[in-house]
Amino acid sequence: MARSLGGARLEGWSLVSRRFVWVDLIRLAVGFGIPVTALGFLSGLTGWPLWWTAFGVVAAIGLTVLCFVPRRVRSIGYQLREDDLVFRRGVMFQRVVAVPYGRMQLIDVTRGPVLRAFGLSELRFVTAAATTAVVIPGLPEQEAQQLRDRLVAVAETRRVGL
Amino acid sequence: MSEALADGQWHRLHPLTPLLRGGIFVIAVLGVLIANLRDRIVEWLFGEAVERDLGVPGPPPDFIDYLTRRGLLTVAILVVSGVLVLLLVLGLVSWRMRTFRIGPDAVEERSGLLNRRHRQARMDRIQGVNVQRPFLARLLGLARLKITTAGQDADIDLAYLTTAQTEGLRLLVLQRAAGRRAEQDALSLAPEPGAEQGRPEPPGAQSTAEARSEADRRLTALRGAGRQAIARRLDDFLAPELDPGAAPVESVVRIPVLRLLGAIVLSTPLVVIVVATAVFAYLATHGMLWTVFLYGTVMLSAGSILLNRLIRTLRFSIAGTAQGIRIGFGLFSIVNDTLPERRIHAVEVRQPLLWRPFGWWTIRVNKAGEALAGSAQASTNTLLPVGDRQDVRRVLGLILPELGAEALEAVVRSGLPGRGTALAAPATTTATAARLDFRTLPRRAAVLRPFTWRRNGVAAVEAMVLLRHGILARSLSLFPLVRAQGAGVEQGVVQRVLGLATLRVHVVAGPVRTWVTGLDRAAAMQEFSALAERVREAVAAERRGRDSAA
Repeated sequence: MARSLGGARLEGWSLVSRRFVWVDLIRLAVGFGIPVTALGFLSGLTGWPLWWTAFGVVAAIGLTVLCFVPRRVRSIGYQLREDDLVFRRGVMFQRVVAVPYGRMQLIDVTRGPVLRAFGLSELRFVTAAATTAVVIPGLPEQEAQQLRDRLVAVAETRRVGL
Repeated sequence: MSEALADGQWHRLHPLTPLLRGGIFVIAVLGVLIANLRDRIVEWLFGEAVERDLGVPGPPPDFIDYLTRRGLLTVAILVVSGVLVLLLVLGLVSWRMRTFRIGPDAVEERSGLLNRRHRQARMDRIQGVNVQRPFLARLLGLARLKITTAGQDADIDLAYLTTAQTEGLRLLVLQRAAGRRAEQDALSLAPEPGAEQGRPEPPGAQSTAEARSEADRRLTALRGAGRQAIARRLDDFLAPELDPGAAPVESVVRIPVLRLLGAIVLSTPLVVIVVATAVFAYLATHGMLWTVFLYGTVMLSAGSILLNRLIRTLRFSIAGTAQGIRIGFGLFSIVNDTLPERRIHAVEVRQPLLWRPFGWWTIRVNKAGEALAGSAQASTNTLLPVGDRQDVRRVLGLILPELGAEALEAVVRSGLPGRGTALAAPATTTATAARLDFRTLPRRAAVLRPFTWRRNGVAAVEAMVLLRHGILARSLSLFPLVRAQGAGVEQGVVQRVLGLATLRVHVVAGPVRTWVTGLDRAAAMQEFSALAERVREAVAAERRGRDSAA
C-alpha cells in the first residue's frame, strides 16, 4: 500500500532547476558549518567530552540533511491546472496545496546573492492566507519571469476581491 | 453635521485631541515623579519622617535632597515643565498638520510636519468602520473612528471627533463603501441625540468644553427642559448602541448575568488561579515564602486574562444591520464594531470541558483585513462569548446566511455533539443538508488520537466545509468555500508510517482550527481533490456573480 502522499493522482509536475541543489547545499553548509566549526574549536580548546558529543551530533545531523538535499529539491514541484495552482514539497514532511488563481494577492520574484550566482530566482505566490506558503525556489530566471507573467495574466481574468 | 465633514474638503480633528493624545505622556511624567518622590509623599501624607536607617550616618542620598543641596531644584522644575510644554506644543502642531478628507471615492488622511504622510483608503477597499470610546475621551464626549482596509497597517485612525460625528461618519462611510449613494434623508430622518452639541467647531474657536456647555445652555433655553438635556447627555454616555435611529435592530443574543458569571468562574484562568493558590499555600506554610513573587506573576497574568474576558462579555450584543454584523461590548469604554459578512472567513464553535454540564458554547471567527495582533485592542474575534445551543443557532444563522435552515439544524444537531462514521464516498462531495456525514479517522489513527478518532472528521454542507474535533473540549470549525484561499494535504513521518495524512483548509490567520490530522491517506487525498475542486467552483461562481452584477 502506498503510504506517502507522493501526488500519485496528480500527473505532470514541473520541477525546479537541478542547479538549485547547489544553492541549497551552500545554504545548508553555511547554516551547519558555523556551529560545527565553533563546536569543533571549543572541543579542541577545552577537551571536554560534552563539547565533543555536541560536535558529533550536530555534524552527523548536518551530513544527513546534506545527503537528502537532492531528493528534497526533486520533491519541489508545481502544476498549473485550469483554475488553480498546485504546489508540493517535502520528503520527510510532505505538503500539497492547491490555490485558485483568483485568490492571488501578488507575485513576488526575488533573487538572493547565492541564487543570482546560479542564475536562479525564487517565486512567491501570496494569498490572504499565510499558511498557503507557495514558494517556488530555484526557477531559472527566464522561467520565473514567464511564470510570473502567466500567473498575473491568468489571475487578472479570474480575479475576485478578498 | 456629519455631511459637513464628508463634503470632500480637508478638515481637522477635534481641538481637544492633543490633550487626549498627550495624556499618556503626562501620566508617564507623573509616574516617574511619584516613583522618585515616594518617601516624600509618604512623609507629607503621614506627617512623620520615614525611617531612613540604613546604617549610614546622615540622610541617604535622596534625589530631591541632592537637588536642593546643589540649588538645582528650580532648574529641575523648569526642565520638567519645559518638557511638558514642549510636548503640548508638539501635540498642537501635529494636530494642526493632521487633516482628513472624506470624498465620494476615498477617505484620505494627511499628517506630519517634517515627514508628510498622505494615506488613502479607497471606498471599495474598506473592510470595516469601527467606533471606539476610551474612557477619558468618553468623559469629554469624544470618540475615535477607525477605518480598516484590506492591507496591513493601512488603517486610518480619526482620533478624536465628537461622538455624534463619528456615528454619522461611520454610517456614511459604510454606505459609500457598500456602493450605495449616501441617502441624505436617511441621515436627516434619524436626528441623533446630542446633534446640537456635536456641531463641529471651527478650528481655533474657544475650548470645546465651554462650547459644549454653551450648547447645552442654548439647548435648555430653547426647550426649557434642563433635565432633558442632562438625561440626553447621560444617555449618550451610557448608550451601548451609539445610534439607535440608524440601527433599530436588537441583539440576537442576551447573556444572563448568572451565565456570564458562570462562564467566567468556570474558565481556565480561574482554574490556574485556584491551583496556584493551593500550591502557594502549601509552599508558604512550609517555609518557602519567597515563592510569593512567582505566585504574584501567575495571579497577575491570569487575572488580566480573566478581566479582559469579562469586559468582552459585559453587555455583549450582536445584531445584523444593512452594513454588516454589529458587535458591541464593554462597560466603561464601549466598543462597537461593524463586520461585513464577507470579512468572516472561518467560524469555530467551541465548548470548553468545564462548560459542558451547562451546555454552553462560544463562537470565534477568523477575519480578513485584521490589524496585526496586539494593535487591535478594540477588534474582537469572539462573536458569542458564552451562549446555549439556541444562541449558537441564532449567531450562526446571522453570520453564515448561506447556511440554510435545514443545514443549520443538521450542524447544530450532529456537528456540535455526536460521533460519525467513516464513509465510502468523499465527505466533501456529498452536499446534502438533511444529515451531516462526517468522514472520521480510521481505527489505526487511535495511536495518534486515542480518544477522539471517532469524532474528529470532515464533512460538507452546502457551500461549506466542516471540521469536527475533540471529545472533552468539543469544537466545530466551519469554512465558507467562497472565502477559502486554498486546500492542502500534509504528512509527517509518523503519519506516513501509519498511512495517514492531515487535511487543511487555508484561510486568513485567526484563532480557528483549520486542519484535521489522522485521516486515511487515500481518503485525505480524495478529500483534498474534492475540496480543491469545490473551492475552485466557489471562486468561479463568485466571479460570475460579480460580472453579472457589474
